[in-house]
Amino acid sequence: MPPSQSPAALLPLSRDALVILLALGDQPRHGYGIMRDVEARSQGEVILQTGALYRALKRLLAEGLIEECHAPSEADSADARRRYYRRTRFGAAVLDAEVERMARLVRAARRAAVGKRPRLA
Amino acid sequence: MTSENRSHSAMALYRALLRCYPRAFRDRFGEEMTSAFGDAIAACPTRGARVNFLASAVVDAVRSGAAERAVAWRSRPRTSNTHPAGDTAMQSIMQDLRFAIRSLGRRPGLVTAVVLTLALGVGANTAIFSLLDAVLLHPLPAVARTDEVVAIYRAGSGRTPYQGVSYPLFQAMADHTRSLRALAADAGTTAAVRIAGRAEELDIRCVSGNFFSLLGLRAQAGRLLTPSDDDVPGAHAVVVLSDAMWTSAFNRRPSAVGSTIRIGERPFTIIGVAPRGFRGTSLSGAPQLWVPVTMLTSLGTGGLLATIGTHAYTLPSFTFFSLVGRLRPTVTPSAAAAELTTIAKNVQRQAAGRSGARGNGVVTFDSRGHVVHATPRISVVPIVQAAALADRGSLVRFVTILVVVVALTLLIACVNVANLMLVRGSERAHELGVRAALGASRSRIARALFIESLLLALLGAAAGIGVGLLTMHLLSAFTLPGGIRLDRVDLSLDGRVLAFAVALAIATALLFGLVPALRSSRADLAAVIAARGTGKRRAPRGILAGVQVALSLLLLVGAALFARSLRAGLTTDLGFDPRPIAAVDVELDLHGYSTHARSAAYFDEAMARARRIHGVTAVAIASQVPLGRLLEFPLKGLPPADGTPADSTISAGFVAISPEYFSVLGVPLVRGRAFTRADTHDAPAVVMVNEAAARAFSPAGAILGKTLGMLGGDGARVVGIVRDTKYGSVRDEHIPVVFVPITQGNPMPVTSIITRSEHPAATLAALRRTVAAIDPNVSIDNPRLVRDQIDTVLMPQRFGATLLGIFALISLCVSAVGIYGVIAYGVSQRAPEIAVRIALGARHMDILRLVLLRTAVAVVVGGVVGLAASVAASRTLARFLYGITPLDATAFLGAVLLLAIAAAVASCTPAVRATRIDPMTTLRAE
Repeated sequence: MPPSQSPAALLPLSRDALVILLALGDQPRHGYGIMRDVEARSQGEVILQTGALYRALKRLLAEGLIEECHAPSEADSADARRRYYRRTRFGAAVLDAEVERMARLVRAARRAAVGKRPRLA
Repeated sequence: MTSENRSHSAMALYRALLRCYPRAFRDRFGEEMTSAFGDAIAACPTRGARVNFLASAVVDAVRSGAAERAVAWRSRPRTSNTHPAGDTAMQSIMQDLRFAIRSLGRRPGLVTAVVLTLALGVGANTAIFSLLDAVLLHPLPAVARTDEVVAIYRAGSGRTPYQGVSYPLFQAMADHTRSLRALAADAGTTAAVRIAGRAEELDIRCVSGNFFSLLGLRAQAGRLLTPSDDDVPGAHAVVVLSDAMWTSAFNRRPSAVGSTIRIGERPFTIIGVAPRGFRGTSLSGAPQLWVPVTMLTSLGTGGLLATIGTHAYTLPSFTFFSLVGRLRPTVTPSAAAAELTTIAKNVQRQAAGRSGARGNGVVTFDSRGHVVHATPRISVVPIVQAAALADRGSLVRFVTILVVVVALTLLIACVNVANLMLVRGSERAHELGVRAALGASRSRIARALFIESLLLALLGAAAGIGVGLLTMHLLSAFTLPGGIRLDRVDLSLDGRVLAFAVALAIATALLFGLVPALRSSRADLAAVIAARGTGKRRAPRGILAGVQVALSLLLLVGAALFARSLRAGLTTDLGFDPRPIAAVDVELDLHGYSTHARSAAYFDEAMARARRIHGVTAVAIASQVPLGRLLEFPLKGLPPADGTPADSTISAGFVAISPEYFSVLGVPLVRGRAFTRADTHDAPAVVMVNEAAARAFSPAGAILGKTLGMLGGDGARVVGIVRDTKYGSVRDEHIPVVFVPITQGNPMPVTSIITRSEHPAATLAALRRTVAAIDPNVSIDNPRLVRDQIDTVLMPQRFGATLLGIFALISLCVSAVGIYGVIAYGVSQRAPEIAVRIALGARHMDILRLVLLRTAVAVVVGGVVGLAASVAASRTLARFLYGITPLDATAFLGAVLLLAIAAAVASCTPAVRATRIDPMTTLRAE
């Protein structure tokens, strides 16, 4: 599906989508590669199980944030069942937008008087 | 299993898990996912990590699969609900099922509450009805056509209503009966057995050769006894093993058949193994060996059986045999009893004609201990009842109580489920109205709710099976009245009961799940949607809460009564302090101590060694230690003061004791003196009596110094009176007991060595070692702390208190949740009304009254009804209550108080929340 909408329409990203887009930043990876990268990048805090991973991949594919690609030449072709994915240009734009959104959120939170919650009427 | 195999099975599991996902998803990603899973599990460093990973993969697959199916369902090609063209029935049911799973998934609290409640009801019922089946309905699963099999006794009276028959009478009956197809004799004893290198004291049944064929049993190895095995007394030294014995001694080796074991001094050849699941014809025993009935006096048991020898098979007074028969078709037990009674009378008449003797020598006692010479009467009892004959009345009543308790639990569970489902239905009235307005047909909505309820019921039933198995596991720690140890009984999940309980669970869930559906689909849509917030129809839920309160109170009172009774039993005055007493039994005449002098020397040595055990302050020997079975004999009463000859006979317990006996037990002397070592053979014969015996023999109170006529002796002078102690059980009345000194001969075989010490548990262990060291061939039986025996005796109370206590507490929690639910729901529904009232100046008390009044009335009415039911029901508990009356005020007050606290706690939170409603926020939301 060609990306026909603006990146902002897809925000906020789910946690799984965010970590997958981050994992596909530098090089194409297969499913297990993504699982390992996510775990390493988050220092074990985020662990993606296969089901959750592929649900997110399906959605990212449908929204055009990632695409399937050939295996990188240096990869061992041990398992023919492996398929590789990489981030699309649109995916990179959405990721940038999401990071910017989060940054704004953090700035706003820092400005607010922490610990003084407004009383709910 | 190699690690390759392991990962192989993990991969197979994962492929199966992929079925959780919709087909399209599976086709697109399945291969990749399997590959990634394989890589991930291969990377797990340890077995533990693999197990963890696998577990999280299962959770992930179920969750992701359900979510993905939900996505698929939402984006399905749309067809109108009212015109399901091209939509097959199966597909739409699957849609409803998915919808039900998702909608239940949003209410985990409700689902948990319903499933747990149903599981409790279903599980408890399955377990207790399986118990009922195993003990009362089908106690002998291995026996063929049990309805034809009967047990045959001489009818007695008083404490011994069922008595054995003599061998000649058995033979006469077997020869002449027309109502029985077969009749077998069965006598039990214990004997010293050397089997597979161990010396043990085993339960042996001596049965006639047709016993096994009569019961329709087949050997699982070798052969069983046949009529040719019992033709000549003492001639056929063959033995059949029980399944348990075959397992424990021979590890189920077929080669056991043909090998030899020693019973007493004699070798017996093993001819076969009884079928698995056959444990004799009584639930209270579990014989390990069967030998021919004509070997009864050849087992080296000594004592009475050795003395009587082969006369056992000719003496009409040796009534040691119980009989089992198989009725001919269409013959009733009472018809058989009439026929057998006639045969018995003929036998008696012939015997009288030959010898002029009175009767056939059988002496029975009535309930007051008076001797009765009655014409023989034969009782024929269906074997299903006879299997648990001892204290059968108590057993039946006790099991009935259990059944009623679990039935109540199921009722409470159903009421609770009904309550929860109604609340849920009301919550959804709005949603259902909207769906109907959007064009969903009535039947479609009803079907969706039906499937949702069915799903809940099935989940509850499945969890119920788990609860049932767990409950049966817990039950095996208990003993039923009549000495039926449940760990020996085959308790298996009863399929019919399970089916019934599951059906009931489903019916409940469906009924109360569908009521709101029908209501909302019938109702005026606009009214349902608009009625949100006005909260009508609270009454049924209030009533349900009341019913729960009543049932819970009933269970609580029952549990409290049992608990109080247990406490009373544990603290009862036995007449002595059981805590320091430890005892072991030895059966010397089973081990070749044939002469009195030899056994006296053995016991002297045993007492001397026991005294040296650290901490032991006193040692005695006796034929009997409380609490245990007291052997009773008839004694002539004392002549009345007017000099007429004595004509009353009094049944009294007989105990042979060493002089230290009363100081070991700590029983005080009331009058006269205790035995001393000076009471020898040469000194005048003396006895001591307890207070009950003093009252029975001499109501005027002057028994001291009088002479009692003794068994086969000249009589003995009463020299001392001791305080009454409980003998058989803590629940018994005090019975007359006569004590004779072992120093003046040995009228009763001494069996028990008793010690008093500060640390009885440690002493008991040392005592076993010490006594075993005297003669390794003598087996030590029944090592016990008297304190523990009290626990055994109080088992029914403990059982009742534990089981009822658990059920009562759970039902209390369920009721509390019910009360909480009703009030919280009422508050949420009436929030706008409450807000208006607060805005208009209502005080906290007014609001509390508003939200609590109805429920409070329901709870109080429920409480009163429950109390009334408890008063009525407590009567049926009376037989199991010891030391308290059925209307024990403490038990009733405690139960009411507990319930009141639970109700107060449950209603507190939602009621307070009602007073905190902010009028502005609430009204703006409307």
